[in-house]
Amino acid sequence: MSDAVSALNGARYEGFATIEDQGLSGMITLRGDLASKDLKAAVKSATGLGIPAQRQALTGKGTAALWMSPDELLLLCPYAEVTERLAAIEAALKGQHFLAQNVSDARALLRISGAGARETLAKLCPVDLAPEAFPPGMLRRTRMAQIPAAFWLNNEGAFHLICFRSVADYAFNLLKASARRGGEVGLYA
Amino acid sequence: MKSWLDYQNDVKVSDVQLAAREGYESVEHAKRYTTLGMATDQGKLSNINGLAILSDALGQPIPQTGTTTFRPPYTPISFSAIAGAARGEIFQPLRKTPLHAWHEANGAHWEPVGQWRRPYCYPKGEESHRDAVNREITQTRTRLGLLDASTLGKIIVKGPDAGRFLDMLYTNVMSSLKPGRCRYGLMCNENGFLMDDGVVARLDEETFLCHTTTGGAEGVHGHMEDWLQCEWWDWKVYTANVTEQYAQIAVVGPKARETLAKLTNADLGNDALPFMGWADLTLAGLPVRAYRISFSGELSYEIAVPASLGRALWDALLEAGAEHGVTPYGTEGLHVMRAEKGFIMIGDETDGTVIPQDLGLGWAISRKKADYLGKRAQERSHMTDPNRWKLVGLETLDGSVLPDGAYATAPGHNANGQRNTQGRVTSTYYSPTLGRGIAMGLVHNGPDRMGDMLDFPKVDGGIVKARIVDPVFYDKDGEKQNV
Repeated sequence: MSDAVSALNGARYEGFATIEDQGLSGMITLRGDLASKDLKAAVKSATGLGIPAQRQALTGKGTAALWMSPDELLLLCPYAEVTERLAAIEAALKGQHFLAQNVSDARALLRISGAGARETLAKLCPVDLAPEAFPPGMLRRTRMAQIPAAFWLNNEGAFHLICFRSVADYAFNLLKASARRGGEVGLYA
Repeated sequence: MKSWLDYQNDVKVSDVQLAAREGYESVEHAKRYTTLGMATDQGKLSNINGLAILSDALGQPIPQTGTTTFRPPYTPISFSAIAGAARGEIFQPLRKTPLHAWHEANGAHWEPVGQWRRPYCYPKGEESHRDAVNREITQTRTRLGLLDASTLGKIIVKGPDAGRFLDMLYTNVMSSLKPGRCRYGLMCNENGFLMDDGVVARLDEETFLCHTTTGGAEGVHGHMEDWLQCEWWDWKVYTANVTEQYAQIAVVGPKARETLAKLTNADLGNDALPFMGWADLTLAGLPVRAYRISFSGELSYEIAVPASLGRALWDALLEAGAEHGVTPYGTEGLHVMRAEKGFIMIGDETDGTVIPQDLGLGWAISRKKADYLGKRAQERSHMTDPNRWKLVGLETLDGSVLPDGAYATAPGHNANGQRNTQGRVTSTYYSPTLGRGIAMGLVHNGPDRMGDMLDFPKVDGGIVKARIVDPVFYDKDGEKQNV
């Protein structure tokens, strides 16, 4: 699949925070009963992770389990492995009512890092990004200016942000404008 | 004489005086009655003058009238602070398909479709837009065209109750569809009005993929979730909007099969992949799903491929189709070709007041089903009134193109002294295939008046005469798409 290209094709911007395209990532939408044992086993077999709690992101080696809604998770894995991991979920949940769908190509994945990362997002999203309010491992589905987006904070202090593929340019340009040098507010300094 | 007071909310001096006369003597009441000072400036431009007018009307000094509660902005702020980040390249989100860069590099003239930008046509050199559209259509009808159809909505509906659910959402029966097959469906709202249409494919026993219009994807998905979460919460159905997971490319024209065959070992014959069927294939080494569906009336395959591979597929199709003069066509070509076939377009033939029965789509409405969304509304007296305007084709006597939205006049005048009307144009184009203007319209008793003549006054004076005809102008028996 050497012809596969992400919407932003490796774009990068260095302001008072660094904005980077994360390239293609395997993404699986999983809808079902998040309290069921079988779904828990399915998530474990596909990602090695448990079921994230509300607004939680669990991350593992090249994988993540992200809480999306009371009956929906987004699972991340390497792009090339999505078919086999989807098959593992289908097998684990055979005969049950669920929906597992490959959405790897429907999204863009960005990384926002550096000391100004919190402030870059705080300017664009109606989310309290103060360190005590938004600790590592927290995930939020929200609005970024005029588009829907979701992001979570990893243990190294960098945010990962997901938006729809069609608006990847808009999302990147928004983050670029927000992180432009000279635009620091110093709210979380 | 009108004197404006609040420039943002269009409040006049006389409005404040009226408020006083009506007994809104408290400044807070007068504010809410007139909306004076309730715009984003919070009265900074108008309130002092407004209070003076109110005081004058009440015959009391200004301090006695008082002021409304002060709200921010307390001090002046710049317009850029109000506008925020929404300017320049981030004025608003532009949705781009995986083929956007190719369209741009190849001279696409853009058409905004919601937040998407779709190519309207691809003019070559000095070619006019109209000439480009005509060239694209002629090439597609006689040889081979390509359309970027990625913006079409695609919603997965899965679960043991998925068939039952779609039988409620669409006017026809979807639960009887066999895996591997596609069916066209109409979606109505509770009031019976046609809100969306598209082709549904059954992927397996429990799973359907519903195509929606480009503008309808998010709304239809929300409509589905609304009914599932609020009304039929015990039905076992999950949905997912996968619109952007796929680039979708329509390969259209007499040379479509021949071109695809160069890129795959799969059997594309009429038995293996018949009209209204779909199949998973490897095409140009890429994993694709081919839907044999047609919005143009030609032999046509819509090929869905993961979005990240969309450009690779497009490039492969351009190369394979080169020997047939492969021609990318835009939304205008798409519109003209569907109109030549008499296919309706949501937003042209529909405007929120039109029901499927108005459009001659009775064949897509099940009479066997006990219920579907809109069924009861469509049985109301106004909906079954034989006087409703109905869809017909319109053919100008002089071959010209009818003005868009023109009304057909009827004898006499209404109570306002305006000409009575008996119909209106819903779609109108120059058809390069037929070499003259074609149109569709809604006309009083239209289907029973074939051959009748109508007068359509033009905005700049004069009248265009048009004859009522069948709305299918081209290949009435569907022989071209079914080869």
